[in-house]
Amino acid sequence: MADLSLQHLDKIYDNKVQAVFDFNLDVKDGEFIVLVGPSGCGKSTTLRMVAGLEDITKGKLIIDGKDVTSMPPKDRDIAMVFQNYALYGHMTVYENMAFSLMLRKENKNVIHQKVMAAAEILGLVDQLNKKPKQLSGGQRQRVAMGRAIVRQPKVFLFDEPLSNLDAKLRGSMRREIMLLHKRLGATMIYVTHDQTEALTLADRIVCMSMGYVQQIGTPLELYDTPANLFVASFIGLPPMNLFDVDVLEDKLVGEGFEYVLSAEQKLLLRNYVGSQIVLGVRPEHIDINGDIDMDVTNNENLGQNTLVHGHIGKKHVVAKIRDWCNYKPGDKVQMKFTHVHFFDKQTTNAIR
Amino acid sequence: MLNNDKKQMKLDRMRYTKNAMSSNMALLAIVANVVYFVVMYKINNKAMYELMMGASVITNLLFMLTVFLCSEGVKKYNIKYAAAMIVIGAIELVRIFIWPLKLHNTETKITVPGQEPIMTTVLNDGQFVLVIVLLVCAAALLIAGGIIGVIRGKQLAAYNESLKQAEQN
Repeated sequence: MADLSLQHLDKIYDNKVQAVFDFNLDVKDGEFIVLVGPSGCGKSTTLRMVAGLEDITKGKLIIDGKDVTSMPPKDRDIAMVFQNYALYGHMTVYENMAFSLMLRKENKNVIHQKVMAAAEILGLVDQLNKKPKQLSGGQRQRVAMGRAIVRQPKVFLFDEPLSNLDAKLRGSMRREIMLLHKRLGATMIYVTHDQTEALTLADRIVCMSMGYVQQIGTPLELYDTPANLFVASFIGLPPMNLFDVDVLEDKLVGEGFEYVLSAEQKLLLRNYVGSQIVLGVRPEHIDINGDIDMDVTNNENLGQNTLVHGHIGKKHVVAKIRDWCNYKPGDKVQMKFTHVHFFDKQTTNAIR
Repeated sequence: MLNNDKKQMKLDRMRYTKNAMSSNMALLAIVANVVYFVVMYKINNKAMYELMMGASVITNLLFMLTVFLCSEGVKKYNIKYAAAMIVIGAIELVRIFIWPLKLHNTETKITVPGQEPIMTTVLNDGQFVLVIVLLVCAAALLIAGGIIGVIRGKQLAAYNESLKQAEQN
């Protein structure tokens, strides 16, 4: 287990494409960090730089107070779990897990103890004599994790480990990773584009876009106080509804609706009176029995709640209603916003 | 106590690891046999080209196939394959007294133009010793590998049985 410090990391490829811009992050011992963002945002590149699989163009990587920026991967004492498992098909589960220790020429009995302990943690004891092709996707991923555990590395890196699994298995594996982290107390950095994984697993989330860090914070911070429009629209499912609105003295006027400001909100927006801002409303913060007209286009009943799709003015809006609704296309429903976010239209930053 | 623990762990390890030693010994025996028949078939003499040659080719092919199967079997601590290795090892020793000995005792005439014909044996002393060494090596590897396979196979079977009983209790 170890502290990790990523200081001003840049990654520029040979073709002059810059994938990561000035990445800064301090990871505490035992912390679970999730890098989240859309494809191509630089999260995997950052992880690979930490692993040593990509050169760091600029900046420093410090592990446990030691500068490892130019150290080869094998000397960094880091274990990585890949999306495609990367298991040896001709070896049994036991041999796959023991392989890295055998290369280090560790004592056979020590290897056996470590492999058995990892197999016990991951529930793989009955599978140790099987080959990877005889295992399910979830079991294969557990073997890949077991291979990392036996090495007892300073840092665990996960590169979208659950992306190849079906939705149900992903859920159970997510819980297993969570338990594993609690049990090992290890420092983990996890890359995903799935915000559910990010929100459920992370101690802190690093949200990235276009190679830049957009926000670093706890899952609740990212959900409750997104730093900018990107984070606001990326975190949350379904995504936040965004409206261009004109700011008046006591209200916001959007296409097809008006929103009356509270005293606190008036104070917050006093410098924006007469200009346009972006109003953000999460689907779960839209409720029925208000005074905003919404033309329903369709319903998605999910059991405990319903996603109501429709238009306010010409803007497509999704509302998450905590009930079973049977609206028909063309119905007019009166909605209200129970909690809103404000964003500067020019800078896209949150107004606080 | 410590030795007991180590022994116990070794047995437990055997449940998940292969018997590489016996298996590798069997493969080495195949290598020794290959060198043996290369030495034998290199001899350019009319006495070689008789029915015995065909039988030898078939024996060698059968030997390599069977030993390879045994090497795969002993890898998994299968006692039957280990026993088969011991038997094949013994046969390998017997082989010394069939073709190599016969060819070593068979006289042949070598004629060099302009010189008196020389009487010699088909398999000269040097070749005969080399052939014996190769066959003995192959036999020793097979017998030793087989014995190790039987011992380890029995140990593992007993250990698995004790685990089974402990589970039932």
